[in-house]
Amino acid sequence: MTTPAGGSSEPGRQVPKADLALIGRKAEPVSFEYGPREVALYALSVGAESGDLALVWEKAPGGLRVLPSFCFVAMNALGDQFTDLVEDYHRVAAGERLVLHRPLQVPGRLLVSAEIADIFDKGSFALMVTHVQGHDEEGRLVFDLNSSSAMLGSGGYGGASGPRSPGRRPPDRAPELRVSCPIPENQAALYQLNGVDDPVHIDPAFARSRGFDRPILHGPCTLGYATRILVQDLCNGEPSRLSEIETRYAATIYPGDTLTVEAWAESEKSYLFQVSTDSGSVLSHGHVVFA
Amino acid sequence: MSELSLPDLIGRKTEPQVFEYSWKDVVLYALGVGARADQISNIYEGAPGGLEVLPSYCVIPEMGAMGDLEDSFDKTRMLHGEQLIRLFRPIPPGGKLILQGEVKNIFDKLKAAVIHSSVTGRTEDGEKVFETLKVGFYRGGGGFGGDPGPKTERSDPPEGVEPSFSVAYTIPIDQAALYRLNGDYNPLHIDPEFAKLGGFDRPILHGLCTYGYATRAILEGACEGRAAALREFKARFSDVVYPGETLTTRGWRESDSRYLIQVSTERGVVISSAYAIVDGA
Repeated sequence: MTTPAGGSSEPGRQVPKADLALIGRKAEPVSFEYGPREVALYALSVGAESGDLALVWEKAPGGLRVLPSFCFVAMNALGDQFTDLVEDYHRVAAGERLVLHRPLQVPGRLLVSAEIADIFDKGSFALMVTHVQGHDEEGRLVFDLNSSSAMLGSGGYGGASGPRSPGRRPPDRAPELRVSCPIPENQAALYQLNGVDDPVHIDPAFARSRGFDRPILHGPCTLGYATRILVQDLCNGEPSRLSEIETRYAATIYPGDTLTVEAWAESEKSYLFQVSTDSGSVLSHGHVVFA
Repeated sequence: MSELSLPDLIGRKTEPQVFEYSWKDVVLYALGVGARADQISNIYEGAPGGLEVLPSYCVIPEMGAMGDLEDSFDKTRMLHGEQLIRLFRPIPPGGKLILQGEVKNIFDKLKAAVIHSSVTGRTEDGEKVFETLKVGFYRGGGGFGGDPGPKTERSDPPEGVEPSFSVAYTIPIDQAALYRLNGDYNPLHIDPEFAKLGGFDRPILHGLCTYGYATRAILEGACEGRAAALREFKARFSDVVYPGETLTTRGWRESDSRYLIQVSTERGVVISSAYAIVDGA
């Protein structure tokens, strides 16, 4: 796997091997309440346009629709509960797998819980998988989100390497969908309002101290752009039809870059996708399933 | 809807009320009026020296601060004519403000009433932070035998004189959809059908969003970017702005601390008879 460029506060610092005792650690569940303002703000923060009334207007004909990737905002409500546990490691975001079991309602309230589900030994790094769930007020499961991060330099302890993920590569033919979209320069500052608390996305000095030229876009923001474009162009803008989306982070993206989403039909209801900029791939191994 | 007779409203005040806000509201406002990623003192709660609140943020607490005094008006007949803000100290980057609204005057222009309403914002300790003055043209509200008021004064830029500063910003096409999340949910700014009914080709930008862009331009052109340096800004709205247009704010220095201000788009003047008072350098 490719890891984002930069991202080291202290180059060459010693990091411990992954501590398997972290597996099973749970976050304190939080109640996440949201309304049209949060939903519209999220949509705009992943590039929805003012003409996309169903995503940005609480009185849109047919009602306001919630993008499935809004689940990342629910996850943000957990705050930094795991941060202290893993602060000794050099972590970079590795990938996401989001499964929707029911459409997100608006307004809504979700009980959000999380657990460190697994740690795998990938040799040069360890892969930590955090499993986040959202339940509605009736206790029904709304989403499962497996969010993975690579603990660089913390692998190679002879542990289980975990299941091999499907090596999804785009086929050697023109994509069915190809959409380009420029990311405004202040987009990361807007995305930050979804409850993210990481200065690497807004503070130039902090970003430089982490080895980046300037503040970087949030990985889930890029995935949000991709989700929005896939929903709008592959299932008639009906977010509730998306049942699953999965991807890996391949590189860092900066506000101001233009991203290109490409998708290839795998079957009537599933597509492979990737996202790239002029400098190369940023989301790879993408897979989306519609119901 | 109870329609109190307009003259009875003159001099009425609301009960003091609490407005609570956080840094997120402040940042959303700044981004709603086009703050750039490099203006981190306006958009980052952890900025060195702290988050600086744009002075025009006070139009957000102003919204709704007139409380039930506004119930007497049919809002669809109200046009926003003028806006003034006056700052006494920097707006805190979150917390509570105590607001009080007052109907200052209502003038009878026969076809319309001109309503002057003011909102004062104080800290919980009673320190005055800002006051605003809004002038509304209330169509069909005149003819109640009231005082016609003073004639509207005009102030135009001096002819043939280059402005002391000129700052241009292009309004992103989706900006009205973002600005409305500050709490102004009038469909005129998002619903194409509603905008057409109102006689516009497409949804228009909020007048106060234009005002916020102009405020940023004044800070940039006359205050070296320091939010705390703006004391007062008064504007008259003379035309609508569409998202996607480029706003150019020009200022002519009249004294150490006073600038005559004009804002225009490609199509013409949108804010006229405007002035700003800044800390004299």
